[in-house]
Amino acid sequence: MASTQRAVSPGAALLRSSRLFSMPAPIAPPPGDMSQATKHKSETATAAFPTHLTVTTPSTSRMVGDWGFKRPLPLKTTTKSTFPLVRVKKVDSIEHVTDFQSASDHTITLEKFREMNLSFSVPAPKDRQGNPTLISVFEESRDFTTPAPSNLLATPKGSASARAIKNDGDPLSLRWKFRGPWLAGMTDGEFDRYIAKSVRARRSEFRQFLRERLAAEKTADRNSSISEQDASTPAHAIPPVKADSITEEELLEYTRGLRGDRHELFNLVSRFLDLAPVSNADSHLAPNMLGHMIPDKAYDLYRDSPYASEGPPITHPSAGLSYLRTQAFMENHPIYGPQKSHASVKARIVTPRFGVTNQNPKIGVGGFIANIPSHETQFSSKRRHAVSAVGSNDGIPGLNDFDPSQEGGAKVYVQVQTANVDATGKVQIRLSDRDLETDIVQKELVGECDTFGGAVKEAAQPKPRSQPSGERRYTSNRTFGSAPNYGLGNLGGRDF
Amino acid sequence: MPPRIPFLSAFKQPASTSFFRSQACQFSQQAPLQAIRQNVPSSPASSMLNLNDSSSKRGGNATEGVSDLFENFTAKRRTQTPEGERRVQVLGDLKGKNVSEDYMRQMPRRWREGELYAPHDLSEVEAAKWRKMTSVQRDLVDLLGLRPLDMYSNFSVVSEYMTPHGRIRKRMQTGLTPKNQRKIAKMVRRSVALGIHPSVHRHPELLMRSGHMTPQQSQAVGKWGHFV
Repeated sequence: MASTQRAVSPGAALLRSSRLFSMPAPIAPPPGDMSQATKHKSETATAAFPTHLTVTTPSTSRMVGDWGFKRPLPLKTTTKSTFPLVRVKKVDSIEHVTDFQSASDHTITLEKFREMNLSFSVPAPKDRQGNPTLISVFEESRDFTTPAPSNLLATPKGSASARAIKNDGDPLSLRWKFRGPWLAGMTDGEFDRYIAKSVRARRSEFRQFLRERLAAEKTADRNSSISEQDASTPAHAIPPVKADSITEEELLEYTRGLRGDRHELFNLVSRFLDLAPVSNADSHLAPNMLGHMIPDKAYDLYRDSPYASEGPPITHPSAGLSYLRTQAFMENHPIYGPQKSHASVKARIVTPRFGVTNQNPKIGVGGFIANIPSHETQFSSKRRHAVSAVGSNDGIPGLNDFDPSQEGGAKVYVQVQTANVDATGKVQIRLSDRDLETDIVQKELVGECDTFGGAVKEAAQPKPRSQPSGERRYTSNRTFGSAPNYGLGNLGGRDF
Repeated sequence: MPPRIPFLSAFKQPASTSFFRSQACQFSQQAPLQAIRQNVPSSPASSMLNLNDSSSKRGGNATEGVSDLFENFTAKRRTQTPEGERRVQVLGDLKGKNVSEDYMRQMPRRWREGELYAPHDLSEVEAAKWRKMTSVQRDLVDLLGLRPLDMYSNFSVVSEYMTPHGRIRKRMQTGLTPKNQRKIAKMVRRSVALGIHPSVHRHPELLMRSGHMTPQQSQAVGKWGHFV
């Protein structure tokens, strides 16, 4: 493509390749961040996602403060940290300084996240217990933003495609990007503004949309009546009803009918404005207990949409954090062989259960705050009877109460299941129940316990034989996966 | 601390000692009476009696002596019965709970799922910032689509925009736009003028509730913390 590039002057080429000019503009801060509307907040707290580019420099340049900007950054603050990571808020501020701060928070968090080998999946419904089927966000059936133009055409009421929508769910609702907003995530003020700015101006357009819709319905009705009366006449031979031929009275009558059927009306409005799906299934109200007898349950419009209850993500649902498609791979251990589950992750108990407020504990996994699994797990043990001391051994120490005796804070090994991005751009990490064996294997790998060495030592010690020496047991079963069968010799006379 | 028993110190007086000692106290085996014997200024005979008693080396304070005795006397009953053991454990647990709650009070941030934390966010500097009460930065009236002039009868909203002394909060604290600040101010004035809300203090119903809600040690600090 060199021929298509315009030749630039040496000065311009120098500027273009400079760091000063290659800094991208910061992206928008997290939407729906209501922290500024509260009285308790911190300006310096780590944001939910980075908005500025992270800049680094080789150590030789860092020693002289050269980060590629207009002026050297001060050595006193930039040479102390282990990793040279800086975010520049303004290359040249009005006070003639380069406004920068450390970016190690987001950068190291990203590194830790990549170490976990997590894949992003389409959010599963929250009420589903245990292990739901995980569908990758990169699957072709899920990873699309623009529907085929034929799909967006108004489907006549009572037609085959409309019935398909009602029964099998709308394929369009599987998208992750919509032109319109997600109404359930808007505040009242935002909704009023949306109505005033974007919706009110499109009245006549909507009337035209209704006209076309009515024309299509009329055509369908006429065609079906004709085919009933006279099977010999093909339906497509008669020209369809045109939208222009719909009179004002007919349209008025049609709108009156729609006002009575608010589900049909919502269908049309959300199609017209391309609203993100909302769910009536996940309401926290009592009627959920009624099951299929919930009023309006038959009109579950977006049954298949995974984003109806929590809102569509603001980015691609992987957020560019991980490009793995699946978690279904096995990890191998040098001694124990292939492992059933992935390596446990050492996590921090950021907030225990019974703090000052009675809230669910929060687990910090690689810099991300996660909830404990919603179903019954080892995390859900609220046992707090009178004889259990703080940090006692029943349950997870430090989970139910803050334990000041644990140096560096309470930690727990967790099994990370999957992740997804929510409507405010936050990464939600889903944990599954603990697996104590996997925890021990991981602890041994990082040197926190010595199961294998201990077992070898124990086996090396001569044991008093309990059986008489003349008697030998012969077993017909070969032990698969044992060390002697792999030709490793008899390690201390024991199979591992 | 065991109780100070005033009448025991009276036994130290020479006038009463002679009387007391001449009675049965020399040979009494009851604990309180032995204590009296140990702490009184001794005659030659009593010092002979106390030769083998190691506890007689203690100072001559009757209260201390009695307290030690009280401890020894009750310790057995406290720890050696099963219910006593349980009681000691419960007391220890409650103490531990108090300690952990005290620590948790120093970390007031309520974490939400998906938020990020770096080591800095767990530091005490950050914890102090979250504890502080600051001004609201966004216009709540616009954000929530409120109509302030219709809310004059909602005294918890009115109280939110008044100081405890009945003054309308300034814009710096409410974080409203000038237009909405005027509306809110009108709401407060209207509410006070109609007699719905007191002009000199919070609404009594709110006061009644807030007193129990926040203990002193949990209250917010900062420039405007003491207003709430």
